[in-house]
Amino acid sequence: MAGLTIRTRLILLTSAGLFVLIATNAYLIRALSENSAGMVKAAGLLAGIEQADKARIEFGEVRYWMTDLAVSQLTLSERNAAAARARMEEHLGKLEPWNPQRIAAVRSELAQYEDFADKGVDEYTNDRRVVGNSLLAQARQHSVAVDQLLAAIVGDLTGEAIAARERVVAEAAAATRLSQIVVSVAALTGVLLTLLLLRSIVVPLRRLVVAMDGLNAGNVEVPIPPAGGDEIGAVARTLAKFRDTLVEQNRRERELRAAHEELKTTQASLIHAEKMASLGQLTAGIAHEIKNPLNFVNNFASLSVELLDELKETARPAFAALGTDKRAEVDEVVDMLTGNLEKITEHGQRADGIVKSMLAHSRGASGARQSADLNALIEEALNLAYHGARAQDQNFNITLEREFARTIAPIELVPQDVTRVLLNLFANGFYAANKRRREAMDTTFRPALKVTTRDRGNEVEIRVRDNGTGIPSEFRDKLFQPFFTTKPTGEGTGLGLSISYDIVTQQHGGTITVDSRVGEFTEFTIRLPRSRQAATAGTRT
Amino acid sequence: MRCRGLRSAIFALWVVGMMTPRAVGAAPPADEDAVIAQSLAEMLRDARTVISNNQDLINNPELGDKHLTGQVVLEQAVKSYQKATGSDPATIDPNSRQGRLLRAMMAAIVAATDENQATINEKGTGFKGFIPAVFARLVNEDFDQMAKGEAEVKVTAPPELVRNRKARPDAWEAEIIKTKLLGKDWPKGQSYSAVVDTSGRPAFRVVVPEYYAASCLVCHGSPKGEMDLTGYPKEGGKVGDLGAVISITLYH
Repeated sequence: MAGLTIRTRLILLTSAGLFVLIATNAYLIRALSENSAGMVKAAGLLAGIEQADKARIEFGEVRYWMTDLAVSQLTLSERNAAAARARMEEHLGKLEPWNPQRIAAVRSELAQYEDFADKGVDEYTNDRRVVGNSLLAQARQHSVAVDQLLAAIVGDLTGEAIAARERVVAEAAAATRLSQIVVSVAALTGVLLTLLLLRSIVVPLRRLVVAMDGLNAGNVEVPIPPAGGDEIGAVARTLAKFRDTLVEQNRRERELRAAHEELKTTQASLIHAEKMASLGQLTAGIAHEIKNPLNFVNNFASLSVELLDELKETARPAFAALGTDKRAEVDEVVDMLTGNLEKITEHGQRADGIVKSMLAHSRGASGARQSADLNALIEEALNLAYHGARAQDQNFNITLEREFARTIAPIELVPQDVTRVLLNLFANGFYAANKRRREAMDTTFRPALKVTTRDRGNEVEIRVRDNGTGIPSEFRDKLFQPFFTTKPTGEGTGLGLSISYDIVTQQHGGTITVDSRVGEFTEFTIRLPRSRQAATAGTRT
Repeated sequence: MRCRGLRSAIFALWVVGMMTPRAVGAAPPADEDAVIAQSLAEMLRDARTVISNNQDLINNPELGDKHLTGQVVLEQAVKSYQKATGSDPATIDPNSRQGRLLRAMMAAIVAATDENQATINEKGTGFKGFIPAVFARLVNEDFDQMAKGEAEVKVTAPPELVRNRKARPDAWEAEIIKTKLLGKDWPKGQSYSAVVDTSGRPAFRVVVPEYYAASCLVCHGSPKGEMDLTGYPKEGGKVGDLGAVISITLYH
């Protein structure tokens, strides 16, 4: 039914109903017509009976008045007899079409009766009573015949009328039964067809409503009813087009949003890079200015230590002359000076290291690109970091997990700088994991660090995940800024991640992101493009 | 029921029409026929008047013998006859044609009255139907027998007014009534006579018109169709309408 339009369906349903109605009416009209014809026939027969009865009555009048005429001789009786005879003839005339032969027989007998009766009356008028009686006796025989003929006609007409009436009743009953059956079947069929029609409209409409509600709610996956050939099918097609448009619109919106996000990220990166660049330049300037005074401090401290050593050698005889207490006091002062100078040297060197790092941070590309096995590079850095940590802390321990993509092709990069990035990340991971171990009361906690590599076609991915303390969200924006550190003073310069960020993004054109959950994990993800062009484009200038 | 006002025929206005010229030579003079017809009609009319005048007596249910015999009726009729004609029937030669026929009429009056004495004198019955018309018909029937084929008298009327079929006009009478007596220009009361072959014989025939008087309308007046005392529907007649015709046939 869905192949038909609703209009066609309605037209078909209405046409079917009208057809049944017209057919039933036609049948009933025909039956009524036949019934009416039967009724007319029965009525005609009844009228015939009435006419025959009236003819009999009028004939009775004729006989009465003729007899009365014979006795009274009154012309009134004669006129009455003639009038009755005329009325009887009128009734016979109406009966004649029914059966002309029998009416002719009646008329024949009637004529003979009248002949004898008239003659008889004339004889009475002429006072010949005996002859009159004889003639009236003969007239009487014919009057009996007339009466019998009329009675027979009445009887036959009555029989025919009864038969006609019974036929009419039977035909009416049959027509009524048939019409009842037809009406019942038509009504049932009409109800079923109506239900089917309603179902063919309502069900797809409900599906359409569901689909529209779904689309309105933004669900483009909502099923749209199949497009049939009807009006609902047209709506479904339109709705499908609307859905496709919505899908396309969503896709474009997603693309726009992604582009916007990318733009925002790029903008943030640019801002960050600019910030880093500014900070780098600032750092380089500061470092350069600090470097010279610091060299003086370090050199003069070293020189002062040597001078103290020379002073001790030179003043050794003088010191020997001093008393024990004084000598001890001098030695103590000299040692303290020597210790102070050594501390100045130590911290000066430390400051020098910082300055050097700052200068390295600002210096940019530190080495030439070369093809390298990324997994091997990582393994080497991992071992170096681990043993370095162990060298600083004998109690340090951590589980190292590796999930390297073995099919990664060699990639062009600056190995020293990438190693430096990896060492920074590993050192931070070791620190966080062990910090958690120290802070955690759970003795079953085992520090762990996992390194994963993946080949992503045009780029390679390195993931460094530790199960340490995690990084609070408020710190993440500042994580790659220079000098930002959560480590206690003296344990971190705050330049590691900043330098790593520069190496990855500026030097290699890659990306470095961080994902973390406090108390659970921290994971850094580095993506390095394979192509030199991309790498070059990302290099800080 | 009385019908006393019927006008007497004006015998002076006889109009004689000869239908058959051959009858003139052997036939009695038309005047004689006219005189005979006049006397017969007058006698019949007078006797009928007597019966009419005695209807209350006749229809008295409490009285038995009314002493209204044929002779009584005749005597009263003769008196009226004498008064109307100025002549006494007894003086007319009984051997003359007029004498024979007039005496036959008188005998018929007596006979018709006497034959119905039982009816007239029946006690306990009101209306007895012995009315002037019936009486006249009975007299005429008796006269026809007594005249022995020499003459016939009949009271007839226009066909639609005839109550007894014995009084039906024959063809000649019906024609004369229709074309003459009912004609627009026919003088009131004027009779019509002619010599006509009747039943194969030449005859002098006279028709005398009689008109309704007020007393006639009790039975023959309005409303038309209403039953009168005899049980017959009234004819709807008016005073002056032609109500009856005395037809006299004198065979030559």
